[in-house]
Amino acid sequence: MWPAGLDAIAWDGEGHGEWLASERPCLAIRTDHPIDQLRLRTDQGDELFIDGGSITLGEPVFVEMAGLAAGHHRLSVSGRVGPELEFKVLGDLEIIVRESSPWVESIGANGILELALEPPVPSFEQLWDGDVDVSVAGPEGRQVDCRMKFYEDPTKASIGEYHLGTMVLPVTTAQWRERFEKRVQQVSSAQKAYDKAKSCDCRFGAGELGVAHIRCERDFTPLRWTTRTRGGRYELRLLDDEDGDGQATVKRLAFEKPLVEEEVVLEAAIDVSPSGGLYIASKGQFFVAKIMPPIDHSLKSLRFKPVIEELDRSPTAALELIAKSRLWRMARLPGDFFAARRRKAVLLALAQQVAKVICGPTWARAEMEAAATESDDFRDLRRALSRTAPESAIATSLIENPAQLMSESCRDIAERLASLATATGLLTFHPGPEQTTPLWLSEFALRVASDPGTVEGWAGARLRIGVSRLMETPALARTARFIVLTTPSRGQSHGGGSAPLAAWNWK
Amino acid sequence: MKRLEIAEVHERKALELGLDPSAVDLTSVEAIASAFRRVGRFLCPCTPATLVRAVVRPLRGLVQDVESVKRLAEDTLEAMTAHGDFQEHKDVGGESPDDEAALVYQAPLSFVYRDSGTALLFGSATEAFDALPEALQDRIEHTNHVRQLVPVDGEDLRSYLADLGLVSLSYRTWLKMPPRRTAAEHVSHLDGLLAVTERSGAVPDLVLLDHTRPVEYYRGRWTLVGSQTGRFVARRSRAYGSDLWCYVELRDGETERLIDFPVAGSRWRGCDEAWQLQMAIDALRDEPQRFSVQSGHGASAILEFFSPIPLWGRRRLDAVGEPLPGRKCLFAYRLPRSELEEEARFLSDALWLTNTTNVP
Repeated sequence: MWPAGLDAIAWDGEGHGEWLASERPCLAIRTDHPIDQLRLRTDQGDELFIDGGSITLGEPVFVEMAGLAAGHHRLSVSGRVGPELEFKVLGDLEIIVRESSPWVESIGANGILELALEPPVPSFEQLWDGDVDVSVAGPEGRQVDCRMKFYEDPTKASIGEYHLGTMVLPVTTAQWRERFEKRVQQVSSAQKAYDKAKSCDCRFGAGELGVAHIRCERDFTPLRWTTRTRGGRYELRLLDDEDGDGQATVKRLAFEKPLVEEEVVLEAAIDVSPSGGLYIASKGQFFVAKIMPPIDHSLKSLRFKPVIEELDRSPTAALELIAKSRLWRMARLPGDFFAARRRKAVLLALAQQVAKVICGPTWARAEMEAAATESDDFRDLRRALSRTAPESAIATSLIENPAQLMSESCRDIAERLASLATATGLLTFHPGPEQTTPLWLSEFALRVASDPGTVEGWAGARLRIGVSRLMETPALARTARFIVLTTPSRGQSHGGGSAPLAAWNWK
Repeated sequence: MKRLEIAEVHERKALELGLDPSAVDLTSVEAIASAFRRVGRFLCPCTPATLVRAVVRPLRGLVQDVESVKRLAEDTLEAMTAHGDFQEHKDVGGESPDDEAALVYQAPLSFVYRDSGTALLFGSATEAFDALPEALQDRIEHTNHVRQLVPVDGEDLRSYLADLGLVSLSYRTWLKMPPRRTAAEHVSHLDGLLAVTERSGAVPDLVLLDHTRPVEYYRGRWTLVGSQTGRFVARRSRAYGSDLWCYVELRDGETERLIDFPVAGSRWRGCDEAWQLQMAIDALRDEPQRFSVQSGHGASAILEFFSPIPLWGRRRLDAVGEPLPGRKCLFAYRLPRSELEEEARFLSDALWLTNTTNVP
């Protein structure tokens, strides 16, 4: 038995076939011995008898199965060699009928141009913030042209169009992100258009190879900030679609003092401070955070350094810093380049402060001296690390092969750290209700050292226990921080989307 | 359930392919091309052999000579790939960058708009046949492997198709060709590449395009390696995957050097480069490959070819003419007589072919 005329969309030759609901399966059936009668019967009770006299031995007969609805069906084929004899089953066929998959516009179902996105359906904000992995696969060396359009109203003309230029296939996330940052994110007209726009369409065109699109829209949240400029200054308006009673409250955290919350009176339009900052509106269980840029766009403004007040060395202080890091990290960015740079500076300063609280003042001094000397050998850091043998040995072992370190994912590094920390006795398994494995704690330590703003989301309810364990094992925290800061390129703060350190993106 | 006669199977399946069963059966080039588009939706990316098998296997019992249908299917797939319905490339998602297997990918549903207002269609969209509105689907004119839409009542087909989501290709992009060279320059360029490659050592299962054999019979020019000396277009087989096209230097039947086609950085298929090189080699030997011109109906002429030509040459012919099944030739095209002179010049200048007839 085999599909006749046109192939099934799947056929294993052993009793399983698949067709589309728009098709009428047609089968060829051939017997290799004489029979008196052939009987075909479906599980729906449809039956067909074919007299043996009309069958030529070795020649197929053709049968059409009409009217099969989408779903599973079974066809049983039986035969008998004499009119008085029983039918014997010759074979069963399982038939699957399904609807066709929808058309992926512009790209063939099995096209050669492959766009991969992570997350698969990103929001406009995620795309702008650099939190989306975008890669395009296709024939090596062929070119793909990338254009981006922003829409305030998708039924009307775009409010901004940006040409990211041609890129050579395959396009990696890093290449796409670099081009996006240069040709869109850092362009002042694009920044303004982004603040107004509600959706965007990023088009990758590769001629006859096809076209691929990233289409994304703003996140829908009950509370939303909208911005506008008036007389060279920014205004914020809160859109409140939350059903509950009461009024939202608004707080501001300045770039200069990123831990300090100040109350802001909620008015129809809030005048944004000239120095910008993080604006948080909350109501009930909802809150929305947005970073507003400073008005001053001078070089001096770009080189600003936040000041973070001294905190005692306690888990509570570390948790407060991690919580504030999360607020700054998850806040939506406007288009303005200065806002992104300042947020990064705040996140780096907060990470440094977390390290100070967990690793201690000596370590913090060493970090500051290393940063001031801008030396590549990190002598001061090594000195601060090498008081006890295990942490120094682990760090040396991990960073002795920079190429390997660069090619590994963050999780691979965490695994190696866990393995070395266990082998040297620095970490042991903590049994009991709040158990932490060496692997979990190693990843926790590296996350705290590189991007504390994402730790809470990852650790969940185990955040507090993780911080406590880390404070009980500061050698692990120091080792993790050393690896984060000293690995070539991994310690750089530019690129890498919204992660404060480019190469420590834990997605 | 219903028992069908052979003719009924041909009729119903041609109808399922969106074709007129009174005009074509499943062995027509139009039906075979449509069947390729259909199986391509489920199987691509895959090897050309897989596609051919999926189209030919269901014809067992429906046709007398399965082998000749298989050859027709292979030629049709080649014509469709040259035309743009399929794209042949190395595995773009392959685990190993060294894997040189050429896979066939289905092109996205796209069109080229011509000055005449007609649109040539390529590729495919969904698994089903209803990606285009039914009224438009019914208007598609199938001529062998080529599909085109002709506008009615001043309709703006270009905007309509683009609005439906089809990829619009410029005529220039679709007809893109390699830089034009003389036959001597072309051979010299590839000889240069061959000369600087490392010695290859023995290459098993090599078959050669023997340039000493008559140019009129392409299939007959292939031969196994014996004691030949010289440089040849060849194909080398592999344990897994389709054969690779290459250019080899032999001494007494032993392989000295070899380069694979396509050469690094090329946008063309291996076979395109190999066929063009063979044309250049034949031209330099004063035995250029040939085409002939026959009179067609009315103001048309028929161009007959005896060897395959690169896809950029096929596309040019697809654009100005209408493909015909080859009779006593490998393939043929019907052209308006007004286009004949220019196309003959193109074949002579770009592919070094010679016209064996006295008609221009």
